[in-house]
Amino acid sequence: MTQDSSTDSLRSPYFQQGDSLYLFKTHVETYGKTIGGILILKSKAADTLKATFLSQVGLKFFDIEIYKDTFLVKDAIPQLNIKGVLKTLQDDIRQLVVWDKMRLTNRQDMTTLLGKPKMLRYDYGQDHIYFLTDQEQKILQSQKTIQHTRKLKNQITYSNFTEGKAQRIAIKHYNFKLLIELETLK
Amino acid sequence: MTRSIHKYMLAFGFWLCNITLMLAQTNDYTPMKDVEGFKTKMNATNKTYKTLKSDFVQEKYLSFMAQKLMSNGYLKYKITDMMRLEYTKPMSYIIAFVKGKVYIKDNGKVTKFDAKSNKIFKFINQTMIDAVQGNLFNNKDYKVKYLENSQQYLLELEPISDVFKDYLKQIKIYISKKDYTVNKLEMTEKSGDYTHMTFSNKQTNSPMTDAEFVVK
Repeated sequence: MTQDSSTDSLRSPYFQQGDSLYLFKTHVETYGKTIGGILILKSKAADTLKATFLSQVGLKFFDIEIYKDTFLVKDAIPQLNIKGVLKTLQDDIRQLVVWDKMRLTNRQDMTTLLGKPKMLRYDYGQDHIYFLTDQEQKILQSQKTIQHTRKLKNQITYSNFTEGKAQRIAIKHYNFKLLIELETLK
Repeated sequence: MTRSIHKYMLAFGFWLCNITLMLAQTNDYTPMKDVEGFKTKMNATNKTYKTLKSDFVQEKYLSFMAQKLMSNGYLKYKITDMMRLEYTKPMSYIIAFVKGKVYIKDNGKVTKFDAKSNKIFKFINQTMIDAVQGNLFNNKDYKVKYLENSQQYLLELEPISDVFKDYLKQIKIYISKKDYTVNKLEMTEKSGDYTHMTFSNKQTNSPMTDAEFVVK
């Protein structure tokens, strides 16, 4: 298994070492309303991430810096500059990027029908991370489920892997209607 | 021999000075001499344009990125309030403003809503249509500085109203002196990041139906 596609590397399957800038075509849907644009994520330091969301016509929706336990709003349009909204978005981005190796425990092999592909499950604190792999143990899909008091809060699905990187990512919230779909921009 | 070299050097120096002066004349903008004349001509020319079709290249500069984000596509405009921006690269995306309604086609899905119901799109709608018409100088939400060089007029607009200040620090509109169409649009944000749209292959008054603006 290569470093990029290794389930043992225990990093986010998308945000591998060596890369620092990520561009996604982004689609956000909440309570029947949609907004689209380009999300740019840049690693500034080991624990600092810059997230900028632009409309197609170039208008900046928000520009935030995400640190280990907090975040700073550099710029945001008034409609999004609401504490709860930006907190949810930065939480999602942090969950998307940061996978703390030390928190992954209790590996379980969950054999799927016919044994192929293979499903692995790790505990991640009170949450779980799943990997669906093929015979060569290359990741086909992975999923991070985030729970709150044992109830599923949101789910991040990484799919369409190419060279160890997910080309599509979906963040779905279950406690309120929010779906964020990301597609890698080349 | 030495005198001859000096003569050539002197001639080369003069030539260099002339070129520099010519370039300065081409690129440097000075305050517009006849602002009222420009406004009259611009308004009169706008009335003769029923439709506009153009290719565009959009550059987005973000201070933290080494490279600009480039995208391109084409624009269609029909008086008085229909505009369709169709992005073709790096991805397919359509945004159309049709008689107060906004249509967006993204990921194959079409979303339609009232421009008035959404402040952001109301702003984009009004700014884009007025900018492409070169008409923003008639908008009281901006303080306008009128400049020109030998080939273009340049309008530098600074938002006055708090609503527009939230989005932009400055808009620059470059207008051709030849046909009074917009060559380039520059929108600068508070942070200094900017978006430039350069228009090319412009065609005016080519036949266009209303149906071409509706996104399906």
